Amino acid sequence: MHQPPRWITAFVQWYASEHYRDEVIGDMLEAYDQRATHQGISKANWRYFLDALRYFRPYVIFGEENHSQNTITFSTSMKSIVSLSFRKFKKQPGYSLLNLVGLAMGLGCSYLLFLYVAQETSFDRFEGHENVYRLGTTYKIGGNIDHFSNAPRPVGPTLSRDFSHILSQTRVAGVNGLYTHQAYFEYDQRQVTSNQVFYVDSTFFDVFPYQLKAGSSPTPLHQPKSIVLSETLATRIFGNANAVGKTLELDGTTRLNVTGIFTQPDFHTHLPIEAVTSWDIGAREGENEQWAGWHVYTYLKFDQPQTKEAFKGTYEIMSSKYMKGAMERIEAEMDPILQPISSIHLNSSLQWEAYPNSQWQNVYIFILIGSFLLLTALINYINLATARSGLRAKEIGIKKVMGSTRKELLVSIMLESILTVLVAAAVGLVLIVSILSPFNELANVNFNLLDLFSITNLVVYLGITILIGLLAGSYPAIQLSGLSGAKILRGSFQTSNRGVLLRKALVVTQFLVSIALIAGTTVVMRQINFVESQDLGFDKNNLMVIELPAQENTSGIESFARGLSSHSGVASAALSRSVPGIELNLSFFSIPDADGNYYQQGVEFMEVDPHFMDVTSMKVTQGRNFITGSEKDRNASVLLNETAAQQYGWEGEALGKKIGWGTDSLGNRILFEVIGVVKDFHIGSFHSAIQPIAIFNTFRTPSHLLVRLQGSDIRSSIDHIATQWQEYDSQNPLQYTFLDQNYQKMYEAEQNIFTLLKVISLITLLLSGFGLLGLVAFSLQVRKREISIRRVLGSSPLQVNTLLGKEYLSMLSIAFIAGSSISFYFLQGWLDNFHYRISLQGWEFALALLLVLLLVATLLFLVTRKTINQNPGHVLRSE
Amino acid sequence: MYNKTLGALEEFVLLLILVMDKEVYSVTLAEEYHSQAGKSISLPAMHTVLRQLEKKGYVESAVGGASSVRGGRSKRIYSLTTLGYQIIKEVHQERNRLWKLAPNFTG
Repeated sequence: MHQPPRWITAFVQWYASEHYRDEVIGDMLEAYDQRATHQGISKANWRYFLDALRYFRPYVIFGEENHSQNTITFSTSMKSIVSLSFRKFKKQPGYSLLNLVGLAMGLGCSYLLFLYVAQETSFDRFEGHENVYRLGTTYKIGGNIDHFSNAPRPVGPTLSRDFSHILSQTRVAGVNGLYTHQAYFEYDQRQVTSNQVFYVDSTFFDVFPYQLKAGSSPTPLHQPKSIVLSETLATRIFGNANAVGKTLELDGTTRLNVTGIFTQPDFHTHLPIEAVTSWDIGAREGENEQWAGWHVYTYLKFDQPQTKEAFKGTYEIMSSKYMKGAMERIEAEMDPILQPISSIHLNSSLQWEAYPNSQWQNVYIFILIGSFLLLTALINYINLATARSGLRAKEIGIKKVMGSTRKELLVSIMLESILTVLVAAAVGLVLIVSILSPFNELANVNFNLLDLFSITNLVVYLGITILIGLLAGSYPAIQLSGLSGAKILRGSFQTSNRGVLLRKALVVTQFLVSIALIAGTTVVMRQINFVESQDLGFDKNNLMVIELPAQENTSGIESFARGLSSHSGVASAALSRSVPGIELNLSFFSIPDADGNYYQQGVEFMEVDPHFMDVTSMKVTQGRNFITGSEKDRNASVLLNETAAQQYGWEGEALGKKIGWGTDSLGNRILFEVIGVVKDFHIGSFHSAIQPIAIFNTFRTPSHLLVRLQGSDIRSSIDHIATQWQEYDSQNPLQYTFLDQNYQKMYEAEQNIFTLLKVISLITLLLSGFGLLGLVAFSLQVRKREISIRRVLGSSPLQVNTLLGKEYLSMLSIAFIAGSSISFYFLQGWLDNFHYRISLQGWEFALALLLVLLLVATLLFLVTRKTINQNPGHVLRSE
Repeated sequence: MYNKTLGALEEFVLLLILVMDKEVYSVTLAEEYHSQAGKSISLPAMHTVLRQLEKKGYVESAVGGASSVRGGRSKRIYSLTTLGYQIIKEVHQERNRLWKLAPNFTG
């Protein structure tokens, strides 16, 4: 007996439905045998193959439900379910599509949101992270309390050395100032900038488990002038060549040896790095021994997880031994802040964080929204599905009459439900792929297709989808399959009161959330507008901020600055060591009180040149500005802002007062005379109140050049400056930003929230609309006869409309009251974050109500139109 | 009420079923068709025709014997229904009636 090629048989076995499989393959085998005998194997194979192709027809694939035989059985095979689902979908394309889209949106969006949550909660969870902590410091000086995310330099190494339960430590600092971790590298004529460059202790990789690539030195940071790069940065600088062993130049001044490359870590971290250098790069004379001030980020690795109390004891031992002197000098109390490293990303917002962190509230909100969307989609699906149950009921009735067992019915309903949900899930995936890039920008993350479709994530997604399918299917399944078949066909389909109440409650919830979200969006928008229109106390428009590389002296850069002013596009230029909008340095000053005794205060300070006031358009309200060329002004004058003058009790009489900063070689205070008071200006964002600020003219070399541009052609002014810069300094490229852009960034978080809220409001509104649709469709079906009778008795369509509408009014009122209260509470809390804020007025909530009302009214009108206007005679007769 | 339109192939196959004395299923029918009509027909095509005929109610089927050639699978045996017999008879009679009215050509 001849055997045909296995794979062809397997192919047919796969596609053919249970029903036809045997007879078709049997027939094919017989024919094959005959052909093989009479025509030869190859001809037989070929014919066999052709048969397999030709049998590939819909009826074979999907099978048939009945066959003219003695018994009529309903196949519960997937194939028949699929074809049945297709047909049902085609029958009511409008509703089916709606349902599908709603479900897809819900599934897709919640998937995305949960991915976000999963990522955000996994920051810094590398192996052994339970033992790694960051050490911050709390300063209590003269009634002021400040929490810093970093610590004085000697603290880390001392703790690690003196205590055996502290296994290791590493200090980290931005390479150009604690807070500034931007630098540029030069190699082979190529210049590459990076925003993530730090100098660190040689123990860095003991604390942070980055993987060093093969070829890297096992102790890459032990040698001075060494640097370790990330893979990506190395490729940017050196191309595909092996970077280890090569030399590059940092910021045009320092030559460094590349001693190692690390690969992209498999964990997200609050401290992303692209390059770390050995400690000697950033260590400045004298700073390494300061027990107060000159902070660096300090990370400690213990032998086991620590409690705050236990560590306090340890810290106290150290501080009493070493830090007493410093604390007395600045009259401060210094206490430790111990943060578990994995908690930093979502919880920490101390001063001087290396990068802005997120908040756990965001995660919480996302979880809430994700769950809500999912729930909503699910509810809508069930609603809409049971609303169309007229059709469903008939189908089930017939099946039952034809002899289907209850079990078969249950299975078929479940399977159909799971199938629908799976299709929706697939559509959902397509949806989120299309909105991926805007979402990435919004949520400040970086998801790519790989993340979306990773096996683990997809499995979870599918699992939840199937679960939902089961859940969604269970309700109609249990309800309908239990009823007597004949009864259904006769038309008395039961509607449980409990079911209707539940569904109403769910729709009310949806509207509640819609109202809350719309009101929230309005409020956020108002606050953002308010903040943006505020008077900053200076003019941030067209203000160019140029970063200056290290200078030897000021004469060169000063003449450059003067030279710029001659151009028509340049109004004025100033040199400074401070830039508005960036957190200022803090130092400790001696302030005289009413009796002439000095007390210590932590004060934010700026160092500027005499042109600064002009360039920024800040106003000196009392006294005068610095005078160019004045030695006295350089060494002994200071400006205070209004808040400072107020705080020290010198309102109106600040001029002439002297404050002390540092000591001279003899130990005497160095005094600065207040020569002027400046109108308050906002340095930071509007989250915090204005602090006292002292402005000096003391810097030796400036770090920034501020240029006020004027005229209409900004572009050419910039070009001009760039060309001038080239002449002045051909080594370093011109690095600049614009102040208004920097300020924009401060409010990025709020902007993002705003956009997010808008989107979520829209989606929720849509889903609520779907929900309402389901409810209305259902009730219409039930009340068809009632409506027709009313029409017969003489009601006009409008009257019937109103009658139906009134029901939903009460639902809306509940939604409004609850929704407004909840959102009021949350919004007030959010606004409290801002020191300068709007106040909640009632109309935001009224607007939300109005919008929702509009939606409801339109929906109702459209949907009920058909039923109400139907010829009542037809309806009543067809029953 | 039955669908009166009957395709040429369908009519032919019905006749074959009427005439054949062997077991009637796709394989044997295809063979018979080949020997009677001179043309060959593929298995799936025959299978489709049979299915159509069954849907129209002209044939009925029952599951029949298995054989080792078929890998132990059973086959589906077809037979004419009364309706099927009636319809080809009717068609045949209608043809005859018309032919009788046709002019008598010699040859």
